Amino acid sequence: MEEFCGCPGSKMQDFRGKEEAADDSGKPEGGGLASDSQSHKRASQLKQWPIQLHLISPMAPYYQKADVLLSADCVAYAAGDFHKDYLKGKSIAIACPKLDEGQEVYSEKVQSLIDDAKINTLTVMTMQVPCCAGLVSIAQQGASSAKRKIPIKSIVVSLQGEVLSEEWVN
Amino acid sequence: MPVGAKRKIVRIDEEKCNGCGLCIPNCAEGALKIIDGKARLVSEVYCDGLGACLGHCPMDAITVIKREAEDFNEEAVKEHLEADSKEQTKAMDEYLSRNIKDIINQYPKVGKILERYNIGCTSCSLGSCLFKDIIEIHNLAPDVEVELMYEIEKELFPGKDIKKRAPKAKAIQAQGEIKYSPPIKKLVDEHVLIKRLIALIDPLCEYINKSKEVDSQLVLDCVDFIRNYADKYHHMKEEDVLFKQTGEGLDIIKVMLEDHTTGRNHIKQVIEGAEKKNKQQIVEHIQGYKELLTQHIKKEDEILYPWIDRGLSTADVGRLYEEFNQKDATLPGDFEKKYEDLVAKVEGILKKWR
Ligand SMILES: [Fe+2]
Ligand SMILES: [Fe+2]
Repeated sequence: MEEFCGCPGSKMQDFRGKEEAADDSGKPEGGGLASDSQSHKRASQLKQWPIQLHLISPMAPYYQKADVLLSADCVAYAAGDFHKDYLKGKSIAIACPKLDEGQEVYSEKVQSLIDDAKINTLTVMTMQVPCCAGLVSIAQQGASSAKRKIPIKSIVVSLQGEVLSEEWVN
Repeated sequence: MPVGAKRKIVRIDEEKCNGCGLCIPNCAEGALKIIDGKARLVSEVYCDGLGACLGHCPMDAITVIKREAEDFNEEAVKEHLEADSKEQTKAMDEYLSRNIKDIINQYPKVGKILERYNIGCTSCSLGSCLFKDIIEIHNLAPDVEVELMYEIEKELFPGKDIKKRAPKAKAIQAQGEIKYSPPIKKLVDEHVLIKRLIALIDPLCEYINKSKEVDSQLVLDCVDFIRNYADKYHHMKEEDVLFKQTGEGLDIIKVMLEDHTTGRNHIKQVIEGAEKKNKQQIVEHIQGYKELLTQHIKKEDEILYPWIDRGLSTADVGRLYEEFNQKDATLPGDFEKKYEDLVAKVEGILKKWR
């Protein structure tokens, strides 16, 4: 039996490859049962645990060479299709640049994701409120102290979940 | 066939009809068609007998008469029109999948229309692009695309009642300054230094022509830049990485690769000229290179790169960037600096001479 002494809530788990078959956000092809499309539940695109930036380890397998999404906490509530449009195919970390404590660690984690996990790209999603832009700065700070260079994209979401801008920031 | 009561219906005088097709778009029911060079009524049930087509006949071939005919059937007209528009879309789609050069050969006016929209297919040497690729690559504003397609469709189907079609949905609309993803931006930035050297070619030629003996060293410095920076450093990223991503079979890529080869041949001639101190040979070929690369870079910056960029996913962007960085890492650390200095040096020499 596996020994685990820490908080079970932050125990690392990798869901990649599980239920890939059911991972179809569209309707069933052709003559699928009518009741099936009615009761069709959209599968979660989250393939990992934990997700909070303090709790995650850049060494976790799902970050290696991954396209990573660094999302402000509120984004997932505002963006209606967050799983389907933004989380799908990516590994994630979440943080709040306004309220979280110990944010010095955050840019170091970003740096480690770039240099150690050798992530492919970083997409930073933030809310339109001005204080949320701090998350982009954290990412840029981490990136500038990293040895590797990777593309960083910033997506800003309105309070109603509309994408206001989407651009590469380096 | 059931024949109804006497009613108004059009009659086409076959003798008079010259098959111009002007009547066709004016029949809202689509009841008229050119068959074997003459306008004909497709079916009695489509003709309401109102005669909207009459006034558009230059030959006075259409009249409205009263005769026994099947009743006008609005439902049938609706079905007929829908089927017709579907058929038209299919016919147009077929053209979209055809080679643009073939279309232009068959309909030279299509080439003229494209030219008016600044799409130079007529003058392209290779140009076996598909019609649909051209529309996609040029990424026109939606309203412009609608107009262009409308004009071309009218040209391809003379005498047909063509309606404007909704433009294809685009992910990002080109507006104002072009925004490139980081790997593509890197290539565009490299063009900037290459363009700085290209700007020196005219003064260089003047300098060569006016000096007694050819300054071979200066020419070879420029060649060094062209061979190592423009070709090895820059073109290799395009050829080994970027064009592999898009697929080298595409015609637009073939044109770019052909440009690279033509450029290399010019430079071979320039070197030979410098060795033989042959002014004419140097000037002719370095001018040839200048003209070629100026157009080439413009095509890449404005058309090819933005088109490639639109097709890249976030993951693709990361992969390209990483591969570019790996390519660059095979060169000495001071590579870029060295060639920036070289351009500045040549700039200095030519400025001083002036
Ligand atoms: Fe090129
Ligand atoms: Fe280029």
